[in-house]
Amino acid sequence: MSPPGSPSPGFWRTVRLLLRNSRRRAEGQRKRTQELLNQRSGKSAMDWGAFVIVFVFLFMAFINGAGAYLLDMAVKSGQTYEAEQHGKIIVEQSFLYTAELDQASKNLLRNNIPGLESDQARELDGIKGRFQREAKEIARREGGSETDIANKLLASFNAHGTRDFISEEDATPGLTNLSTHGRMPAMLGSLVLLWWLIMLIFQGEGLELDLQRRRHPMWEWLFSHPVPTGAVFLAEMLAPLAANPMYWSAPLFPGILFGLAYGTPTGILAGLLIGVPVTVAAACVGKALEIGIMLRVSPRSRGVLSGLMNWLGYAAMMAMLLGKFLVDKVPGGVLKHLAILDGLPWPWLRLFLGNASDGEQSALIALVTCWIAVLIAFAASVSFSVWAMQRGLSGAFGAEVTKPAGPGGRAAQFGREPLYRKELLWFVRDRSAIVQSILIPLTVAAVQLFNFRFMLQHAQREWNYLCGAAIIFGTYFLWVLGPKSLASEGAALWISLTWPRGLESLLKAKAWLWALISTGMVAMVLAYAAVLFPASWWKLLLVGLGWFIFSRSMAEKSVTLVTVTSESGEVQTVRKGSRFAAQMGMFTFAIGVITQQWNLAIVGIVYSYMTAAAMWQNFRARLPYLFDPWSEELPKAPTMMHAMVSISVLLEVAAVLTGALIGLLGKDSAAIALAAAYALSAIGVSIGVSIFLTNRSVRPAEIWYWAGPRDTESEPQGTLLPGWLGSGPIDRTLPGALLMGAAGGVVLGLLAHGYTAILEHIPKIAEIIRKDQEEASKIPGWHTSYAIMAIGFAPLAEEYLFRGLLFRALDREWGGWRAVIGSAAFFAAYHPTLAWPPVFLVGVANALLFKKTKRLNAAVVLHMVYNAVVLLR
Amino acid sequence: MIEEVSVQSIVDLVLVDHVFKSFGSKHALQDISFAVPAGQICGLLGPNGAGKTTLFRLLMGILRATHGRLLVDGRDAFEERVEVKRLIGFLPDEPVFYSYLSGREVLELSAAMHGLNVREAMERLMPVIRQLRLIDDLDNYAEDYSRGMKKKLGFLLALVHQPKLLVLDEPTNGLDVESTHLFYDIIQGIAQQGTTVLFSTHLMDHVVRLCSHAVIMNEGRIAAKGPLAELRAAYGDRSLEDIFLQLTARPAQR
Repeated sequence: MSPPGSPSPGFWRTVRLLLRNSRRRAEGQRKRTQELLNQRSGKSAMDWGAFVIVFVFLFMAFINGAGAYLLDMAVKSGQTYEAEQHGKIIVEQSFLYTAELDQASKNLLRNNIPGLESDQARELDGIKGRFQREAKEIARREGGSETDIANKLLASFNAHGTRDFISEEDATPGLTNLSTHGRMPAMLGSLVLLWWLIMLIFQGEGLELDLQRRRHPMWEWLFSHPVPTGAVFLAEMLAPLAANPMYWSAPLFPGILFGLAYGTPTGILAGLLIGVPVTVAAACVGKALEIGIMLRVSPRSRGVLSGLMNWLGYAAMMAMLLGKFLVDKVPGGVLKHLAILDGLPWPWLRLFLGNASDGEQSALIALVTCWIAVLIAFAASVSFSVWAMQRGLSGAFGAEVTKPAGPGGRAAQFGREPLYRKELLWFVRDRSAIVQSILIPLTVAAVQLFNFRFMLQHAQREWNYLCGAAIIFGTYFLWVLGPKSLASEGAALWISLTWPRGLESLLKAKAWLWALISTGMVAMVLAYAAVLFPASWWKLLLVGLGWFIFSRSMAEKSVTLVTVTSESGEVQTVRKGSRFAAQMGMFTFAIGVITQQWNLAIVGIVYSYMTAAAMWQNFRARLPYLFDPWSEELPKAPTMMHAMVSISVLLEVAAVLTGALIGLLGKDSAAIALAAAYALSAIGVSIGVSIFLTNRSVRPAEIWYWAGPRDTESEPQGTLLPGWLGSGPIDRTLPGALLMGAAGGVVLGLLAHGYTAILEHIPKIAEIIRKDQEEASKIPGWHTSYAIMAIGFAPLAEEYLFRGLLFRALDREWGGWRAVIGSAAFFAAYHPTLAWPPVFLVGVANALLFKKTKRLNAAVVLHMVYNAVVLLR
Repeated sequence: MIEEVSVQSIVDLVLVDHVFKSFGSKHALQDISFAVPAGQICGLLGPNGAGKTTLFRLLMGILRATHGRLLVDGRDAFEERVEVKRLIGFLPDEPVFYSYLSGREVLELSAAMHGLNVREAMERLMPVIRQLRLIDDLDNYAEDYSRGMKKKLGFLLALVHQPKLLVLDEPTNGLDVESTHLFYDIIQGIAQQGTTVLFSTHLMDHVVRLCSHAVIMNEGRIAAKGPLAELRAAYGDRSLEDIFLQLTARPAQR
């Protein structure tokens, strides 16, 4: 309380006081951060604060500068578009000059001055050459076929001379002459200007990642003092200016624009006289909106709205940064669609730059216009916040404050899948949902895309690159989202631990949700692709479908990266291996789409599903120990991961050995090298895996003999075959099982022959097969060595790995037909694409045979007989 | 004699059998054995850090015993944790709730996750909700509840699926006197209907009033256990508080 008689502080004194206070707060905060840092590292850490501020300032300055050039570029794109709409062809200044000369000489030629015929021919050749060079230049700049452009140039030249040619300088004067160039440039420029303003207005104090939903500004305390309301709010509005370096460099944007339009000196002046007030006004408008939201919206919706504002500011900033990096020109296709907006009034850029309606451009007009706008913005902001204050600081909501907004809590709605509804409510009611599940993954995915920008440069021109970008974007989105799967549980995680369904179904449900969200994101990119490349719509649809299928596995993998924040609040790190494994299949899928090798894309999807199953199997074993790492045990061997790793090792070792043997024996022995290497690798890996599993107390008999997922105790009884012969009991069922295998091998082998016969009726494929055979017959000893490898070794190793380890583990994970089909698809994926259908059938047959007869040796027999039949000519 | 033992083990709803639990080199529980007969109320007493919460977490299947076994209605608390969770209603010491769900929604969600008919479960709970005077706040965000209200909501959450066993970690901690009595009335009523209750507390007089059995823990070991009357008789009919202080006395720190 001020003593009676002492005057209350006036408007400006209050503002000054509060600003000084806010600067002190920021200083204190910085100090505290430093102290915490020192505490954690145990020594006095270097104070990088000042460097960070300088760096951030430079970064922001770069963004503002990039924004200005982006606007210039947009205007020029618009001007190009207008020129082309008027039937003009944009050419180099030098070309235009020579073309005019050519025109003159053509006129001369037409007058048929005698003795010039030979010169005439030479002259014509010269003209053609120059036109071709220019066409090449245009094609480089804008894309399209060189010859088409050259023909177009020549046709236009023959018809109207140089009348339709216009030099780039004349066509796109940029900002220096805005008013004489139609509506499109003004519209594009205005859009970028609005974009910049949105970025500035919603910038606030910078991106806030703290998920505290309800901020308690010190208003209650402030308004307990006898100070003018407007002054408090004005100080509040000016505070972000001090906190966010974005605002310090913002005047650069108008500065550069005016520099481009009026020359450098005017630009510098404009940066000061226009840039500074506009920046301050933008900050005030943003803060006023925030104050309005704080005071007039219920606490929960308040969080969502201010979260969205924050996101908008950040997204606009990133888009401006990436926009300048990624495109050097707005593509014509986009402009055609934007032309719909042409009908709306777009005077904003003209007003901003001081264009009078009669085409005159004056910086003075601009100054006056901007100042008027700034004053209006100031007054509006202050009075808006004073209006918002009229209902008081917090009391206006009554019961609404603690009552859920959004979809009401009707009992029946928690019915079928309660977890989905719970997540939905989280999204609807909690601001942190937007930040955690959209904003952060989106940001990281965008930054990752930036790392792949070589791809994005092609993306504008080729649908498949755009699709590849979409896949990588979607994958990284999931990759960041997955580990945050328990964010919506927070400290309430204990509740799900009291449910019988527990964490596993909770996380599976989330994976499914994340897959849907990511599909929505990718669908947006694909929709954009469909606008750019309407002819490829069905391929885009296929990619979309592929992503939809892929995303489920990707989401499940990323969910296994989930961490629980420990009680000390320390963030737990995710194992690097798992992080890497979670991405498996993504590159195969993306590269398959980019290079349009659809088989590769399918392999990527299959591979991703297999790693997902393997990771979940391990994760499920770990899950009960999420809170009890001391008791954690290794999952029971053999796991899917063991099978996956062994199969990969088999192929890798075989490849390396082949290379080594070819080097040793010479290129002529490639066939023998390949066969020997595969055989060696198969033997080596089988023995290695056996030893590894024995060390994990898994006897070979447990692999060779099927004990179903439930009757793990049921062991083969009676006299046993030795391990490498299949360790089943020697009884009446043995010959039957082996016979079934042999018969199956014959039938499937004949089917494969039929399949090949059909393929040979397709000329394109027949050609490929013929060439393959030709190549193979050139290598001496191919047939024999291939036969030994395919009949003698491969079946043993492959059945051991694909059925004995992989299928059985997958059967535990998925069970039933899904496991049969999944393992067969994975088996097929390791073979040449043309062989997929018959090999898939072998995979299905062997999985069933193994499970039915319980004997892996039956499957080995099938595989051997099949390979023998296939090799018979 | 032999028959009696086997009957006894069926009647015991909770059986803790030579349980050890260590976290690395830290031994949280050492050789804990006790049983709670079905339909009885058992109080778990012990100074801070005695291992009560660890024991509850073991019962909930969140932790796994290093040695020994914990059976709830004959089922292993860790190996059969899914089934065991159908049997147990659990109230942690400081229940925290989703910030974006109302009290009613939390209850409905939990009922649905237990596979119950949500409407029926809520109707069944309604009398208790009224008794706890939570009805007016049920549609408000659980996050905005006061500490006592959160405790009440957590208690209701533990009752949603009509469990055979209630495990309550300091249920009345932070409650006002009136609510505390309300809680105990409800616990007593539930026990009379056959539900077994195991709860920890620091309030001796409440144990005396409510419990038929008591277990006193100290530094990860059992200090005393048994039916309350026997317990007191063994220590010369002194008050429970005296017994507790004697058993858990630590040398003064210098």
